Amino acid sequence: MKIIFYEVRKCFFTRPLLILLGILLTLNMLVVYVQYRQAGIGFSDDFTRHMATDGEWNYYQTLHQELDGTITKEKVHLVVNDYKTYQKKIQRGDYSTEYDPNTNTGYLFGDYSLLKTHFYEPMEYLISYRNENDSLVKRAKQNIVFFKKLGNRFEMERNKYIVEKYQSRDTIEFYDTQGWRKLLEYDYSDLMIIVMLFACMVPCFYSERKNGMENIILSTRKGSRSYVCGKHLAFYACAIFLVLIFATCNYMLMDCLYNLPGGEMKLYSLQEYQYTSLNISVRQFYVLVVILKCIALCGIVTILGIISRLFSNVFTIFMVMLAMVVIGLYFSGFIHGISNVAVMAALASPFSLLQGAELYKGLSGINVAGHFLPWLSAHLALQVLLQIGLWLLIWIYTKCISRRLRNAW
Amino acid sequence: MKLELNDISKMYGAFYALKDISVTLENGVYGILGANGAGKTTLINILIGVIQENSGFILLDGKNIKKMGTDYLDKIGYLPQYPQFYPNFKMREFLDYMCCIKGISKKQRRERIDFAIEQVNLQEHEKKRIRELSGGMRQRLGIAQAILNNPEILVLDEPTAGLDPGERIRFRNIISRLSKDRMVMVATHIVSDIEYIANEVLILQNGCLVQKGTIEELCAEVEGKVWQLSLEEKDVSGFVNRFLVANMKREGNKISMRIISDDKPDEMAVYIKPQLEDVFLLVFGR
Repeated sequence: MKIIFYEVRKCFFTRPLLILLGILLTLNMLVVYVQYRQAGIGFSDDFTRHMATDGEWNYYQTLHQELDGTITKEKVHLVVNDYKTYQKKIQRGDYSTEYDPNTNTGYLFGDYSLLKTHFYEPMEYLISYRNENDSLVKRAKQNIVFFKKLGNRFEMERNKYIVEKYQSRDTIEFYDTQGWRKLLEYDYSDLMIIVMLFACMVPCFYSERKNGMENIILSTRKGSRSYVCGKHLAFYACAIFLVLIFATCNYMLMDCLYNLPGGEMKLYSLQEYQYTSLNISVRQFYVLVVILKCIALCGIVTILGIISRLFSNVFTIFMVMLAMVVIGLYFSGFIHGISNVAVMAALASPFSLLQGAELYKGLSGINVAGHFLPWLSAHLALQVLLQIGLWLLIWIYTKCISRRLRNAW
Repeated sequence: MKLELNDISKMYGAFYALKDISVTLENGVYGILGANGAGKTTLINILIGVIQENSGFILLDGKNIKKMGTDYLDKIGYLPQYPQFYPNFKMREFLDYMCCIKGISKKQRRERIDFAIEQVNLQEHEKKRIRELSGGMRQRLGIAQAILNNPEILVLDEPTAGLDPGERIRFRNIISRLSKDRMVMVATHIVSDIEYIANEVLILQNGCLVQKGTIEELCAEVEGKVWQLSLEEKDVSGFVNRFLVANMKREGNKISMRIISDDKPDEMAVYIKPQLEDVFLLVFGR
């Protein structure tokens, strides 16, 4: 255990890398803030304090104070009544386009637009979700019978999965989901983490040779065995640490900017996730996304670690790692691919899990010998196999180092 | 303790880095002398188990080291050429790490580290980071890490490279002190590093062991071949071209030359006692 601690200390806790981490964290915060400042520009539905007038903001806040939480008939009546009143006036077309102090935002159309976009439509989605979902489950049940007759096991299992995961759903809570959407969509920190991992992994084995430490380590009792394995475990620790620190930083920053209300509402309360197969809260989903990123990065660093060990030239290591990242990211773009090759490429790429939030927007699965297998299960199974293979390589390599001295082993 | 190297050969492609090295070593200081590329580091890397010989075998007290496994590594302490270690580590932290990979138990670590630091006189600097240490201190730290496991065989590869004369002397004294009850192998091309401390010297040339013996034995081989001669400056170049010159020193208007030659180089030349450097020069200087 202490060897791993020292490996982390060697690879990661150096002054230049800690400075780089500080710079990347600052840069990450700046990107979040810039995105926040740009929210609401153009045709975006985003609504932020700095894009709104005082009147708009006060109206928005007042409505949220009144409506947030469990959806009740009173709340629905309030929104529907106001909406219909505004709608009638707008449809008549004789409303004033001048500033009107009797309106909430200063303009009648402003009141209508704000209420419609940020309250009426989201609430309509939440209220109608149960019926929509029930009809989806009903169709799935019909499909089971239909595909059973046809003998299509894959479609039958897929529809069974839908029934199992989607039935008895209800959305009863209304909150401002803007912050959660932004938090789940935000992926610039993945880039920062990869930059950080490059910085600590590219010179990791090279510097041991340069510092004259490789031979010292290999000539010790535990050194030959712990040298490569210890480093790989340290890479895992660094990757997980980086994911956690960036995820915490992102969460806190988004909470400051958007307030992230309603963390306990179901994930499908977010319209983008209406077809998700998960029945967990948005906060739990964020934790899941972070865990998936940890798994993804552990897979990535195993490969990067092998590259770092294989080559003796820093530039070559960097270029090969870069090529690997580019190829991995390219393949991960096929997570919703149709052809078998594209699906296999996405399944094989450990980078696919970095898009955990994207993966769960709908139900995706693959056909394995006529059986339905959810995409994530297939991906995790393949990644586990890949990791076992890679660790076997590492083990053989470590064994070779040991055997240089001890043929009898 | 007896370490026997039997017909050790190592090839890189078609090139012999070591060829049929056979030697038996016991406790004491052994100087491994050789010019750059003579095979010193290759021999050391084979001894510490980092590279594998193509043929031959090594026995420690009659046991093949390959069959001893990590037990053999427990008996080894090694200091490489120009070690930098980990610049961001503190000295004690680094030694603790070395204890971990040498498999020294938690209980013994503190005691071993204190002992090693004391042996190399680094007590005053133990809180410093490695990057803050001078070259000499870093070499002493290298010795400290090498003796943490109380090795029976201490292998030092070019240990004084880049050190100033003061540090060199200090380093030699440390090696002398540590050589009690253990085997110390010092690979170097600097003759003065081992001249006063080595019990025996092995001279490698082009991967072959060309000379082995005590300093007296080696010097005896050039006995009667080392001459000193005082010359006018104008005559120097003629002698340099004709003879193997070990040393030249200005003494007033004249130049004093140390010449290695089978025959007396000049009427005025006087015979002097040979030194290890003369042996080295005789092997490599021609």
